[in-house]
Amino acid sequence: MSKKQTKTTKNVTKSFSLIMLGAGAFGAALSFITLALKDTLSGSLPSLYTSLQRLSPWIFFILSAVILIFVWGSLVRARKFCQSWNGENEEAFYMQADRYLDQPLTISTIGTIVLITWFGMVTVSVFRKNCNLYLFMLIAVLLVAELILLALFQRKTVEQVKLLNPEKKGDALSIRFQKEWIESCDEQEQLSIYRAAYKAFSALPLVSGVLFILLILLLPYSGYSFLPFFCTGLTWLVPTIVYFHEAARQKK
Amino acid sequence: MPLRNHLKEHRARLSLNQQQLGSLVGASRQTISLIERGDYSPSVTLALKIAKVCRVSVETIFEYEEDRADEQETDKNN
Repeated sequence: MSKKQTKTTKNVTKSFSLIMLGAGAFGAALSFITLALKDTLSGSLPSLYTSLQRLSPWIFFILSAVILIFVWGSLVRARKFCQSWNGENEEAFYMQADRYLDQPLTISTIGTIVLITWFGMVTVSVFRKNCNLYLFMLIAVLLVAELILLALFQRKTVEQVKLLNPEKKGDALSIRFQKEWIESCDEQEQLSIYRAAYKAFSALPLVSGVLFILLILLLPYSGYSFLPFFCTGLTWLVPTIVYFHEAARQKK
Repeated sequence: MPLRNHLKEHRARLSLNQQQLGSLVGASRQTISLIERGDYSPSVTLALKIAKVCRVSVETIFEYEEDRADEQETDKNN
């Protein structure tokens, strides 16, 4: 190792050690604060949780409506824009069209995850007897209907994208959609997809770490056991194993 | 990006829009746009396909910036 490399290695090791010490001190401070606020948190957190459970069905209705309106609205705007093009200023038109068409896809995908997650909260409230069973059944039906609608909106958005980009293949409702779509993308588009996927994967350690800290800090005031820790660990572990396996496979 | 290009001029010479050129070289309209703006450097295969469609050499369309700096340096010295 050259002198410059040794100096860089020493600096990096120093920074790493400082970050670890800082993180440890921060964690200790957080734990101390949480313990100091034990009485306040013991009183307020369970009642906040119960209130959230009681409100969860109504929050679900609001979320469903808001997500549906935003997806439908952004799709209508995108289609109107594409249909109103007069053939001039090609580059500016396509850039704006791409921006408009990204919105319904982004909102519907995130909306799907939010709705499924919140449905979990509604399920918890049923088991804790904070929600009526008939209301829960209505919400279950609404969830299925909403997921189907969001999928149909995604399909319409993809059809519009395919009108502007005829080389693209795939039906958004098909199980082979991802494969067909990526195969119809050129080198630059595939590179963009892989870069975005890697960035998403890179966020996992930070998000999982923060989740673990939150779960540990709130453990004395909540009724959960090992399952949330296990789920967080699994959500971190599986993509990591898939990544290393795929990276090794690519080298062969 | 260290790669300059004259793709827009050659595309205009052939009276093709970005979509049409993209179809001929197997790339998307978006990729052609990114190449013209200098935001994406095509692979060797794609660069050769573009040169073939434009009926010129690759070096006529794409210019490596460091080569250009070397040429300017040589011209100064001469």
